[in-house]
Amino acid sequence: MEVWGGGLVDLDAKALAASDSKAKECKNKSCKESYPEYLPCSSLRGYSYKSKRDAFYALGGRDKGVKIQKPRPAHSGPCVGQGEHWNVLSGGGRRGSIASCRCCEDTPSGPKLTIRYKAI
Amino acid sequence: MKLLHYLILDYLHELPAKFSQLISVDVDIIFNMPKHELSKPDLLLQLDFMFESEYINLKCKNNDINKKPSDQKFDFEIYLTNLGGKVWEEAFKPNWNQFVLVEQDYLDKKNINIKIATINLSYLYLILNSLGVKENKIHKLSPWHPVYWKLIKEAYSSNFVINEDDFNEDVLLKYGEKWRKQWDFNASQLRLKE
Repeated sequence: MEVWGGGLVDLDAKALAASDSKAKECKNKSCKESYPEYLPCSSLRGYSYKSKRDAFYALGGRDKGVKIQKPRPAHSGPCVGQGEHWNVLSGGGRRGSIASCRCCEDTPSGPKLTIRYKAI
Repeated sequence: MKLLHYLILDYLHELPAKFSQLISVDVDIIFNMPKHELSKPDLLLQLDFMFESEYINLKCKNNDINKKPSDQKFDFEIYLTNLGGKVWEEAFKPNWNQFVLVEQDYLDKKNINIKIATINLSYLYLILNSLGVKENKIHKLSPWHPVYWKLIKEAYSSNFVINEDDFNEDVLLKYGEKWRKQWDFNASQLRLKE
């Protein structure tokens, strides 16, 4: 009986330890390991906005007559295949552009996929 | 005309742009097109040729400037002339029947004001339907400028307000590209897709 009891306790402890170690392993993984197909957000120059709206406002989107056109897939820049592009117009001319990029961010709870926007 | 000149026309075909945007290191991201890879003096040289050929005009604060690009001391705006527009059409073979104009702006913290216009009424209904917009009033536009230099006799538009969370903008991605000839973005040098 003592052997059985001792064995069970031992097994539970081992299972817990294994699960704990896996969780730690996941948390410790980096973007490079978990999402190698995505660029790390930290490597993107100027993709600093967390929403299209924020990027739009950075281009003066609160001013009257400033508008965004339709989205298109990003053909150029660092995020081809992972991003989109919008023209921003005002007064019949190009105010600027917004580019988005799906990228990976290392966080304390592990790597996370997110979208960052550039106002240019 | 070289492919490079067509690329510059393409940068300008939807909206007039500033010289500072054309010379930016991020010119490819701004216009979502290939880079021209020209230095400032070389770009000015090409713009001078296009100005003298009357493909482009210059303006500053809405006033036309009659001096060539390399004579400018301050930033200026560049736009296609009617001739420039025709040359662009010859190169990029647009199908205006498939062109979709979308303009959106944020009304408040939740809502977006959207205007969609097309030549083809059934195409407009198809787009509205795929966005989940139903029973919306359609306006007839006569005439209509799909882009600033092009005049179309008749078109249709719809204006509506939608909650930002309900707006599946990705639906519009498929309507943005196939109406014209595109650049071959996989090519190592400047090339148009067949």
